Amino acid sequence: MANSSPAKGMKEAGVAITMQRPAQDVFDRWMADAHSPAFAGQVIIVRREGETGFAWRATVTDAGNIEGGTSIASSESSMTAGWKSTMQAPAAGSLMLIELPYMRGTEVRVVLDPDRLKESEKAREAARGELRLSLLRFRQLLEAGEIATVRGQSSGRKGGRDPDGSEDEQQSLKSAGGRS
Amino acid sequence: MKAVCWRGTRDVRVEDVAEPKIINPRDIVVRVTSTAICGSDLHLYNNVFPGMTSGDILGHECMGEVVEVGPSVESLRAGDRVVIPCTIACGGCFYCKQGQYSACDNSNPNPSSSSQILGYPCCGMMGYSSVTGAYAGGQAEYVRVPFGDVGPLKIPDGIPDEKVLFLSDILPTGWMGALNCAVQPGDVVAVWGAGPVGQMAIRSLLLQGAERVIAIDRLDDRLEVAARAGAETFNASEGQVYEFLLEATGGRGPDACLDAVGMEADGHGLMDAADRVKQTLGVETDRPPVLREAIRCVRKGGTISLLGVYAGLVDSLPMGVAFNKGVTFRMGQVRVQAFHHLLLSLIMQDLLRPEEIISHTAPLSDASEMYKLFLKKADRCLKVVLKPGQTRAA
Ligand SMILES: NC(=O)c1ccc[n+]([C@@H]2O[C@H](COP(=O)([O-])OP(=O)(O)OC[C@H]3O[C@@H](n4cnc5c(N)ncnc54)[C@H](O)[C@@H]3O)[C@@H](O)[C@H]2O)c1
Ligand SMILES: [Zn+2]
Ligand SMILES: [Zn+2]
Repeated sequence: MANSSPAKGMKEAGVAITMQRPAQDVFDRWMADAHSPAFAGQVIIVRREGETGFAWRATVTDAGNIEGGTSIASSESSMTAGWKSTMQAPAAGSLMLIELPYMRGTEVRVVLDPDRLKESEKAREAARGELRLSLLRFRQLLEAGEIATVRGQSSGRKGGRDPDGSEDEQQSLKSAGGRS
Repeated sequence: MKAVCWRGTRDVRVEDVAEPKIINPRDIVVRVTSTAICGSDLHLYNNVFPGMTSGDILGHECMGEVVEVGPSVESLRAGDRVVIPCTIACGGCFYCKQGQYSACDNSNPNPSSSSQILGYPCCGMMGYSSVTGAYAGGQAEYVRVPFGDVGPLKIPDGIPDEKVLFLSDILPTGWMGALNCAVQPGDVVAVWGAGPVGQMAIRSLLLQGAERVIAIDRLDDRLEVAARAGAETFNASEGQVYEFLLEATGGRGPDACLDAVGMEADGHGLMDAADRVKQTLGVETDRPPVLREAIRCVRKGGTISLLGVYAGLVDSLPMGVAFNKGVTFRMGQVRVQAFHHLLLSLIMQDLLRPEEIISHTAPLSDASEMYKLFLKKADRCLKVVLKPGQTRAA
């Protein structure tokens, strides 16, 4: 992993995951409702800023960097929802997409904001864990079109069904020590 | 509706639960007409496979009639008869695109559970613990099937359930295990375990051209069924498997050895006692006497194909023997969707008759007794099919 990594800082606090789609598709989905310019490059970096916005920078082959900003405040896209719901603030970092040869998909590398590195190792690990889960869900959306779930399915638990994910149900599940 | 719920070690009960509904756009809901108990269910029943929670609905081998489809499902409609693969696959990930459906990246809704135990998120499976996603299983009157547009195989009218039910798991499993033996003309293959999976492997190996298949078990009734399918047999309680196989192969050893027993194999002597203590203490999750034996028996340069499920750690594997012999290991969860069209056509041509192994058919309400029977292998029990909606004959 370390040898093949062109991204500095991955070792400190990052997560890499490969998605079976061209980089452009990944990026479009990531930016979902944003007005992204046409990216021709192979490496794209997006930095999330606060709760409502992305700053993005695309490294376009032979053309240096393009920079810009976009808001996700009004986005209804599921990817944004997935990202928001599982990442605790501060969730800033950079995103790098590297398209692999022979249709092997796109490496998605996310590096957390260096500020996080000052936090305890435990907090950093927790953030990485959250980030990894967010990315796994993002990949489900991208490749499968939906996020796998068992919420609301039949079961031998209370009411003959697993909780459907509403807030109070999750709360009661937590206090009952059940699965999330 | 009625469903078989897991309540703890060797405690399953048929209980009333809510009927399933469409949750995701690619879901379907199926009215189950037949569902089987698998050797894999016994690992859950015995509580040696991790990740079970009281109230989980069991069952990963089932078929029935589609009653509802999600808005994104175009390949099926209500009224279609389908066999449901035990492995849940999205069809769009790196692995699914290569036919490695049981490695699907996107079908496990609970990836952190399997990551904790296995170090990576494994695919989703019907009714098989939180490690594979905690999906409700098909030992029930109705079942929700995720990715209904990738998995379920449509069955033409006129073919009885019994002929096709095992396309859900054990038939493709046996077929894949046989393929993994990479049979060459003249090959002799030894199969440990003449349970349902071993039986399917034996039939597949012979169809794939093995010269001789030698079935090894301790249960004569199961060995008889293997013999009827064309295998030579050896009862492991009557002597040393190693000596027997060496003798039976002119001192060379089998070209391939197939383990259709897995993590709860019966051993003997001190090693078995140690394995059992370690398994109880949780320091060794799996008991591997068959795997050890297979390594010892396989010829130099031979292949070991593992179908029996292993969940975690095994001790005292003779790796030096495997290394010096140059053994090839192949293994894995079955890629059901990769084989089911081919296997359906072999069934329709009467080249495969998986229904031959059914020993017991019972209403779903008898599930608890049937689990006991299958565990004890009593009453010549080889494979149990449960029928939801049927009542016991008076
Ligand atoms: N790879 C897969 O995808 C897949 C799919 C289905 C089942 N399985 C696994 O296959 C295995 C077998 O399943 P099954 O339904 O046939 O179960 P089963 O319990 O009915 O059969 C196991 C057989 O192994 C025999 N056995 C036990 N110890 C032995 C030994 N030391 N030597 C020889 N035989 C021995 C038993 O007598 C029994 O007949 C299980 O581990 C199951 O989980 C794997
Ligand atoms: Zn099975
Ligand atoms: Zn997949």
